[in-house]
Amino acid sequence: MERVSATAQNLVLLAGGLFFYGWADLRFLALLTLSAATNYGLGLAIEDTKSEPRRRVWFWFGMVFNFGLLAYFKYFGFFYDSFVDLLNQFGGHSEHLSLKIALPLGISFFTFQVAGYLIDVFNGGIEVCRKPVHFFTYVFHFPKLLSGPVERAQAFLPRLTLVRAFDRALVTDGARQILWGIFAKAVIADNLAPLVDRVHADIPGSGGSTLLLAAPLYLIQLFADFSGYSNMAIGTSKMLGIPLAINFRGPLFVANISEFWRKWHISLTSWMMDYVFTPISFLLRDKGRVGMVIAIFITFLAVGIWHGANWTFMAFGLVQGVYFLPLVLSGKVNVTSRKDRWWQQVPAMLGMFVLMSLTFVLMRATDLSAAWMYMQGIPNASLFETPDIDIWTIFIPLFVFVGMEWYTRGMDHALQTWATERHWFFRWTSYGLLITLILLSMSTQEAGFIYFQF
Amino acid sequence: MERDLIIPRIQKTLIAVLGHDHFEMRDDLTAPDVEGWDSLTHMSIITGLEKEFDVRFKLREINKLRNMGTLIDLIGSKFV
Repeated sequence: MERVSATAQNLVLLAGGLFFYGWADLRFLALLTLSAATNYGLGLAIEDTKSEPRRRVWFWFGMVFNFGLLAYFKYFGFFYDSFVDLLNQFGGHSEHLSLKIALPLGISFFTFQVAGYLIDVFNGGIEVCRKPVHFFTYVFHFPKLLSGPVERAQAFLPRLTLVRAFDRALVTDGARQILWGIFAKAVIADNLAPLVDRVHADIPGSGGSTLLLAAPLYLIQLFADFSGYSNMAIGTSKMLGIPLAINFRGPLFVANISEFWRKWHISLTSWMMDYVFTPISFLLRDKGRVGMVIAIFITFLAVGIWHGANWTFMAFGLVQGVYFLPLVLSGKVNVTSRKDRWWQQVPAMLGMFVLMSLTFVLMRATDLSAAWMYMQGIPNASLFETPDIDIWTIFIPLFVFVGMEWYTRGMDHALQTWATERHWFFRWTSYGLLITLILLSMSTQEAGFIYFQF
Repeated sequence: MERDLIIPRIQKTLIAVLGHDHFEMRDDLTAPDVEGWDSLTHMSIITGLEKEFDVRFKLREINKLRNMGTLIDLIGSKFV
């Protein structure tokens, strides 16, 4: 006989989630609550309506509601300003939108989760959630609320019906995952940030070698920042007995583009694959490879635009589509990865690392012309000078980070096997070292998470 | 159509698309259990099955698939 019900546990979680969001962004707590309530009701309406045309109406109302809200907050200013630019090209004299619309924290993550829920209910992929407490707990679950992982209702809701009990193995594993996450964020990402920022602040004044070195440093910074956040979020939720989706699985070490997207921001990519790529490629399935190419371009354009309203993000998405072309046109998408030994894959992995480093300049650059200037700055005589980046202060932690990520690239997180496979002395020494490095790196300045803006 | 007749033809299609036969045709087999069966290859497998059995699926039918068992049942239902 359980002394506590799952609903009571969920209520505690929900109260925590509401408090957490209210603390981070009180203005938008009401907006998110209203949206969650609307989606809860729409789910029931879609499920319980017998007439097919009416079900469709409810469904499409839900899509317009969710993506309309997202579009208003995230994209309206951009489209308005782009429209004004266009008018002014033809001799107009309109002003840019002076009032910037504030962006509710986590709205991209929030929208994709509730929209996915409605699509699943509509398609019969999941059972509708009738318990408001469960649904709100899903939406407001605090570890994933601001920056993901993008949790699927399909996987998450069933967990809320189970009573969670204290599990020592789960709690210590969660704690180790959080430790690795803080190390990645506080030691690696936050120490790389000023080095990368300095280069991007003065692209014309930076030599070719400096630009070339700053590109992979930014990719590692972004990876450390976002995987660090994800590990903290997943670890925290794990300690509460609710496992979350995996978000990264060694994306720095991949042999082709398709493998990269199976390992980078997995929860977002798999969402896009299921709800954008699958329906589009299904509709175009009689068009052969052309249909596949169109579906891939639309999917990665959506991935790019998901990050925000900027031409750089759209270019980022388009470039990903281009990278897929050789795979699709040669028909190699279907061929499973060769069973090479890891060292046989190293040249391809290095090539992909350089390619993705240069591509992610688009994610960091303020606009397209800055990104273009960056690329043009690399191939010139200054490429053979010593890079003007003081990497040596961070070199040893960086080496440990990349080395550990390589060594544990198939695992959920880098310290996963620490409890069972390492001698206690080695284990506690490594924890001590990580904590020392974290304490030494903690600055008094506030360092936000990169993905909070998306 | 009988399940026994459907299963080998699904197997044949999977081998043709994925290029290997390292999987067992069990009812509880899911895509992640099979190397190379991901969201990109999924649609090639679906179109391959449509050609093999000369049937048309609906998107909603595809979304409801959970494992090999449900796939066999879906194809079987097209011949009732």
